[in-house]
Amino acid sequence: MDKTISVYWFVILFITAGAVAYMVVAFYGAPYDVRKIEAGVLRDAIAECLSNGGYLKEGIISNESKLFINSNNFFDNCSINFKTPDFAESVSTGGEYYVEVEIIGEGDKLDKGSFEVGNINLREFCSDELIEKGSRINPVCLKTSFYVLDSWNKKYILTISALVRKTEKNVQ
Amino acid sequence: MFNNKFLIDNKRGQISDTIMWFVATFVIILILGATIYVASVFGSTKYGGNNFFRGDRLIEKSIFAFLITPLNESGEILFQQLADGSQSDEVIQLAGENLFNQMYGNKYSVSFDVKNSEVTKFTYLEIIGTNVEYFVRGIEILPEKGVEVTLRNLI
Repeated sequence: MDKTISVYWFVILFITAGAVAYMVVAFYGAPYDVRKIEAGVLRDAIAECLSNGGYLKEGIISNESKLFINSNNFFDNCSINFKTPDFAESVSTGGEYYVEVEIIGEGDKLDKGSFEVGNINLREFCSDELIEKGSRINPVCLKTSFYVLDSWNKKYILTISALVRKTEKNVQ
Repeated sequence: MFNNKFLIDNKRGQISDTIMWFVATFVIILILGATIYVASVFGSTKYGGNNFFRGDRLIEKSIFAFLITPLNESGEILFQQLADGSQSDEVIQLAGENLFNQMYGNKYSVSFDVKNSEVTKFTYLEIIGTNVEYFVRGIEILPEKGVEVTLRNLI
């Protein structure tokens, strides 16, 4: 009888230990989805690069509202890079980031300019429809507008769309 | 007779013990199952970002640009008028609503509220006397409620 009970106790002990181990793995093994934070940081960095103290920075726009900054000089001007060493496979798919900047000037004749950088295959995820719909497996796109003046006190609305994919490491 | 009763009691005791442990095993497994389920539910992907940003950097920029927007040909900005109290709160609020509701109408319901107590605390005389620069110190963005701007001086 004592032998049977000791076997029983061992079985219970292993079941309990196994269950506790499983719970710890299930709870702490799940990733944190920080793509929204990363997209926000990227968006704010771009905004800081383009404007300061309520004005567009020098060399961003001409007095004829022509946008000087574009996809060719964006990385140099803003000291931003889209390198993702943890996502080696993303080089073949075009990268983990996408950014679109659009500027609309005030006036009778609407001045408009825009450029985009990064993985343009991800552009569709920054559409209003998909942003509103939202899905945890989709890339995260933050689209925000802000009001800014140029050196000639002309008013603009600048819209920044910042997207981060990185689905594999952020979503279980 | 005594021996028989003892044996019967002993057997009953063993049966009672066995049943108790069967029930105990069931209860233990039930509790473990429930805690595993709870751990699985709370252990799914956790989301960061909702409380990470204190305020909204881009709305701060918008409000700052709004305050330095020239109101007339002479280049006077709203900020100066706020400081010397020559602009009424209603006009400021209207200007703010016109601008920000155009931009953020879908995202925020914006009311531009400049606290009277904060504005009147720093009078025009104080600015001249101390050459104090004003800046926007407190900006609170409340989704669905509005943007609240508090003006403070640098000292």
